Amino acid sequence: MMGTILCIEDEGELREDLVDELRQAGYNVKEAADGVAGLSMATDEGVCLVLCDVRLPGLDGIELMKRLRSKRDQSSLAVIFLTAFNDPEMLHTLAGLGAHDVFVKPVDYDELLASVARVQVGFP
Amino acid sequence: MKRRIPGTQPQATAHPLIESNLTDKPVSMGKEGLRQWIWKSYLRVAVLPVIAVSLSFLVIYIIGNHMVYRQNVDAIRQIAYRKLAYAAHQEGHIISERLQTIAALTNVLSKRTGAALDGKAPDSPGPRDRFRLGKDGGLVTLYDNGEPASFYSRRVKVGDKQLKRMENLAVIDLTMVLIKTSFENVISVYFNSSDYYTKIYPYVDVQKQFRDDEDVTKFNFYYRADANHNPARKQVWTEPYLDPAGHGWIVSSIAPVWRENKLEGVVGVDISVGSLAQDLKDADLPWEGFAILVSPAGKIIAMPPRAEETLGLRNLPPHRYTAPVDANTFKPASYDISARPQLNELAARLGNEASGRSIVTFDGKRHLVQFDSVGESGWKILVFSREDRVLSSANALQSTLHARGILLALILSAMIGVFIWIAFRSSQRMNTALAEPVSALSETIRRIGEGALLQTFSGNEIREIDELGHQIVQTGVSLNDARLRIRAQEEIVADALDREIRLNAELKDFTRQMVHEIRNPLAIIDSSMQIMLRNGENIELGAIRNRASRAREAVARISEIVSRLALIQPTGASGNAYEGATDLNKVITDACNRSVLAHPVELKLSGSDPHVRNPAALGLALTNVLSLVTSVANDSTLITVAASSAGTMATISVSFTHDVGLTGTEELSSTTSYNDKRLSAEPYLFVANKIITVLGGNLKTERQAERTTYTIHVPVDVGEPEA
Repeated sequence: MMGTILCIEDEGELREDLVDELRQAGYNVKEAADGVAGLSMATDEGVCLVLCDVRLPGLDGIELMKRLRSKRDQSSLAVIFLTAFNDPEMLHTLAGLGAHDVFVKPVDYDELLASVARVQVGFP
Repeated sequence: MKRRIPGTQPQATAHPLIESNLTDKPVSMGKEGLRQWIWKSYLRVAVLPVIAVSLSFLVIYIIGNHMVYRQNVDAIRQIAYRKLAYAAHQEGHIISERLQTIAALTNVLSKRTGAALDGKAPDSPGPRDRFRLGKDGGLVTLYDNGEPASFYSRRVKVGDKQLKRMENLAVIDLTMVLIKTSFENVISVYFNSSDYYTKIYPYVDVQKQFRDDEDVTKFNFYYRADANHNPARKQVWTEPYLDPAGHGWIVSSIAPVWRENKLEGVVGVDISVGSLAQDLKDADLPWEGFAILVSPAGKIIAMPPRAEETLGLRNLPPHRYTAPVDANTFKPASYDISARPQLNELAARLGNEASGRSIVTFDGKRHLVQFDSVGESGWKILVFSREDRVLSSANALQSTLHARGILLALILSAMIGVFIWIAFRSSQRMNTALAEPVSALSETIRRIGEGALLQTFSGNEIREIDELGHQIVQTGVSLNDARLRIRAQEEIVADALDREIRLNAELKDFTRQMVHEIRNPLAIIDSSMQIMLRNGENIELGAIRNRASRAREAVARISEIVSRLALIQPTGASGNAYEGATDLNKVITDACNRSVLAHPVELKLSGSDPHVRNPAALGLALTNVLSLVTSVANDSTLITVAASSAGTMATISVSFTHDVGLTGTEELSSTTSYNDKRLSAEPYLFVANKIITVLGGNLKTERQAERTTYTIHVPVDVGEPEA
C-alpha cells in the first residue's frame, strides 16, 4: 500500500498538474498552497513524503523543512524540493537540510515520479 | 585587496607613509651618544692639550733644574778643587817649611859633627864617671845629667882612641840640644858612627834600650845615608820606622858625615809620626776634609783621626819596648796606598806628578782628592773632602728645586683636576643644553613614527634646535593632516565600495528573483506540455483549451518580466556601462529619456546642480520608478518629475494621476522581501527602493486621492565631483 504524498506549491496550475500526475501514478496526494498550511498537513497521519516548493508565501520551504526536522516524529519524513532557483548555493542549502531530492523547475514528471518511487520503496 | 575599516586602526600603529622606515634596523646602534661625544670633544680640545702643555712645562722645569744642578755641581767642584789645591799647598808648605828647617839643621849638625871629629876636644868634655866600659868591649852611659847619652857596641874594644872621639864630639852637644828644643816635633837628635858609636840627645838608657852588640849600621836611619843609598851625600828622609831608641814610630832626617871620603857616620833628627798626625789634625781644611802625608815609597806617614775612619786604618800606637829593637821595623803593608784598590791609580800618579786631583770612593761615598808635594822631602800631602759635603749647597738647592718641582706637579695636578672637573661640569651643562633637547626631539620623532603625530615643542634657546623642534612638530601636524585626508578618502572609497558591493548583491538578488519568476511560468507551460504528451489522447478539448490558456498566461508573465528587465538595464550612451553625466539634472533627464516614451513629461529640474555620487545606480532606480508609472498610467497622463537639493541631500519626486488601483501607500524598506510585496507593489518599486537605500537615501510612496507621488531622497556632493 502506498503512503500519502503532500504537495505544497503556491502556483495553483502547477500544483494541480503535480497532484494529477501523482494520483495517476497511484499515490494518495494531499495539497497545500502555502507553507503554513503545508506544515500543518505534513503532520497528518499517513503522510510519508512531502513534495515542496522552496518559495512559498507565509512560510518558505526551507523554514518548513527545518521545523519538520525539529520534530521527533517528523525528523525522518522524506522531502523532495521543487524550486525555480537553480543557483549552486540554494542546491547546496537544500541538500544540507536532508532533502531526498531537488528538482529545478520546469520539472520532468518521469524523473519526478522515479524519484518519488525510490522514496516510496524505502518506506515500510 | 583587504579593506581597511575606518576607526579600528590603533592610534599607536605606524602610519603607512612611514611604517617602512620603522621596519629598518636602527642606524644608531653601536654609535656613541651625544653625551659621550661632547665629553670626548672636551677631552680632545681642552683637557688633553692642557695636560700635555702642563706636563711639558713640568718636564722642561725638571730638565732645566737638572741642567742647572749639573752646572752648579761642575762649578762647585771646580771651586772645591781649587780650594782643596790651595789647602793642600798651604798645608804642604807649612810642613815643608818645618821639614826644610829640620833638614837644614841636620846638615848643620852633620857639618859640625865632621868638624868635631877633625878638631880638638873641648876644655871640659864632661865627667868621665858617666860612662862605663864593658869587660868585653863597648861603653854605656850610666845616668842622665841633661847631656846626650853615648853608647859603644860591644863589637868595639873602647880605648883611648874611642874615648878621644867621644870627647871631641862633645862640641856638638849644644847643637843637638838646640835642635831638639827648637822644634817640638823633634824627639831626638843623634850621631851614629861607622865604628858603632851612638850619641843621642835627649838621654836614653842605652843599657836597656840597645843591645850591647848593637850594629847601628844595619838600620835604615844609617844605611839610607851611606854611599850606596845616598851617593849625593845629601840630607835625606827615612821611611817611617820603629825607633830603636824607644821613641816609637818616627821618621828621620839623616845626613852623612864624611871625612876624606870616609863615611864617619850619620847624624839624624827624629820626628814622631804622632806629632805630624797632630799637625794634620789641627789643619783647618774645608768641608770637614782631612789630609794625609805619604812617603815617596807610598807609605802613609801620618794621618788624622778622620782619615782613620775613612781609610779604615789606625795610626800605629806607641811602641812598647819590651826588648831592644835589633832590626829595621817598618809600617805594615796596609799603610801602602798602592795596596788599596781605591787609591791604586792615585798612588801611581803620586810618583809621577807633583800635584793633581782625583776622585776616590770609600764606602760608597765619593771624595775629592787634591795632592801636592811637600817641599824637597819627596813626601806628598793628600787632602780629601767628601763630595756630598762639597756639593751640599748644590744638593740643597737641588733638593729645594726638586721639592718645588713636586709641589709644582701637585699644584698642576690639582689645577688639572679642577680644570677637568670644570670641563666635565661644562660638558654636563652643554649636554643639558644640547643633548637633552636633541634626545627630546628624537623621542618626539619616535612618537611621530609610532603614529602619535600631534606633538608639542616648548622651544629652545638655541636657534637651530628651536627651528628643528618646530619643524618636527610641524611635520607631525602635516603628517596628521595627510593621514586624516587619507582616512577620509579611505572612508569615501570604502563607503563607495560598500555601496557597490551592496548594489551588486541587490542586483544579483534581483536577477535571481527574475530567474525565479521566469521559471515558474515556464514550469506551468512545461507541465501542461508534459501532460498533453503523456495523456493527449485522453484530454478533452475544453481541457486542452484551458491548458493553452494557462500557457499563454504564463508566456505573458514571462514577456512582462523580460520587458521589465530590458527597461531596467543601466545603459549609457554606448549601451554598455554607464557613461552619463554625474550632475543631478542630467541624470534625471537621461532617465526620463530612456523610460518615458509615450507620456507627456513635465520636468522641474533643480536650481542648483549638485553631483550625484553614483549616477548609474540613481539612474537605474529612477528608471524603475518611471517604468512603474508608465506601466500603470494612461498614455495621456502627465507625469511630473521634479528635483531639488538642499545641502548634501537631493529630492526627486515622480507624481502622476491615475485611475487604476495601485496598491500600497506604505513605505518600502530595504529588508522587505520582494516576494512578500509582489502582490501589492511592483518589482520596479522593490528594485528602486533597494538601490536608493544602498545609495544612502530612501524612497517613499504617497497617495492622495487618485494622485500618487514617489519621492526619492538621495545624498549628493556639492562642488566638484571627486576623482
